[in-house]
Parts: sequence; structure tokens; C-alpha cells
Amino acid sequence: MSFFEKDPPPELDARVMRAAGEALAGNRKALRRRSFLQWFLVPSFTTAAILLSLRARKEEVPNAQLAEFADWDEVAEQDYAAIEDLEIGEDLETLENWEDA
Amino acid sequence: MKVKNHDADYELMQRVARGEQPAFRTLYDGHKARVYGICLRMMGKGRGADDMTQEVWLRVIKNANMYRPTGTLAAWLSQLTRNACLNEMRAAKPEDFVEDLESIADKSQSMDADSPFKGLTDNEELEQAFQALPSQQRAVLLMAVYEELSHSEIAKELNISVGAVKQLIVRGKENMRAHFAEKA
Repeated sequence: MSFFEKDPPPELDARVMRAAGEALAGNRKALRRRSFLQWFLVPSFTTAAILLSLRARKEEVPNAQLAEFADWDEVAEQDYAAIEDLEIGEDLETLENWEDA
Repeated sequence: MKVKNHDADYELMQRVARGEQPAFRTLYDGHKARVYGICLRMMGKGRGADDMTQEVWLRVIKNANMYRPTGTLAAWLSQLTRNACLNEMRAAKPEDFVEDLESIADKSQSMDADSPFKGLTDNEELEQAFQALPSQQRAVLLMAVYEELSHSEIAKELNISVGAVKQLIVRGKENMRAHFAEKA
């Protein structure tokens, strides 16, 4: 044995083994926690995420309200077209009145 | 063969990381003399060395999954033990540690690391001489003689110049010789 190596006294052996017992139990606990995360929580979250994405896809089908919002521009265009028609109608009416006169 | 040993060490450390008591017993029995020896030489006899030994083994258990088979397990353990002792020494007497390193940093001298320890095992007088050395000289001699690190490796580990490492080794050896001369 080298100058830098020395067997610890038996009482220190016992002390280290006692403390190590607790530390090893800590490692086992941490491992169980990791296993729980790995085998239960991670698959649960993955499943939940998939289900949510499927639900979101279902909701992509437009409902009446969404359709109204989506078609708002079209409605405005239709209104403008109606107004234009009305203006033309008024012009035509004026022209007809003038011809009658 | 070495690779196989490293694999076996890695497997052993993985089992310790999983909290297996028999694996730790195997690890402890195989390396307890190394860990306690370094603590004893670095911290001195008594409660300091005992406390540090326990602290090191708890760190080994906590960091078991950090071990990678790139070097030997013995080297990994030595490094962990030595660093724990150095940190403790720095924390205990930071001003002494820094002062001693700074005072020698600019002096460089070419010397080999031939040691006064060669062929010697446990010896009361040698122990006394070694314990009488300043902590930095003990640390550097341990790294050069026992861990067989090169001057540049020691310099890198301690964050000092190669010249400072050489100087610490020279001074350590001189101090030990002086101690023996006094006794004779």
C-alpha cells in the first residue's frame, strides 16, 4: 500500500456505510420519481396533447358565428353593390322622368 | 482489457446511481484506502479527515451517474476526493492559500517530481513531515507523486502556472528533507 493509501478505522467504515445507506435510499427515490415521470406522466401528457390537437381539428369546421365574421367582407361588398344598383336605379328613374316630360 | 475494466466500473457506478447497496459495498471496499488516504494526507489526522471521507463518499453516491468511463474509476475518485479537500482547505484558510500561491507564481525552477516517498509506505515520521507542509505543497505533492499528474496537468487543475507547480514541489521536498534533518 502506498504512503497515500490507508484503510479507514472500523468506526469510520461503519459511519460511512450508515450515511451511505441514506444516500443510496435517496438515489432509489430519485430513480422512482424519474421512472414515474418517464412511464406515467410523459405518456399522459403526450396522449393529452394528441387528444387536444384532434379536438382542435374538429373545431376547425366553421360554425355560424365564425362564418358571419369570415363573410363580413363579402357582406360589405354586397352592400356596396346594392348601393351602386340603387344609384344607377335613381339615375335611370331620372332619365325616364325626363323622357316622359 | 482496459476498456472491459472501464465498462465494469461504469456498470458498477450505474448500479450505485440506482441505489444498490451491494454495488456500493464493492466500490467502497475497492477504493476506501485511496479515499481515506488522500483525505488523511490532505486534511491531517483527526476529525477533519474522517468528516471529509464521509463527505466524499456521499458525493460519490450523489454523482455516481456523472461517471463516464473515459478514465479509470480510481483516477475519478482521486480527483473528486482531492478537489473536495482543496475546496475545504480554501474555505478554511482562503487568505493563506491565495497568498502562498501568489508569492511563488513568478518563480520558476526546473525540477523533476522525484519524490521522497518512493519505496516508503506508512511511516509515522514521514506522516509528521508531510503534515507539517503547507496545504498547497501537500496538494501538489499528492497530485505529482500519487496521482502521477504532469506539471501542466496540476497547473491546469489548480489554475496556477507550471513554474508555480514546480516551485511548490521543490519547496515541499526541501521542507520534508529539513524536517528529517532536524529529527536526525
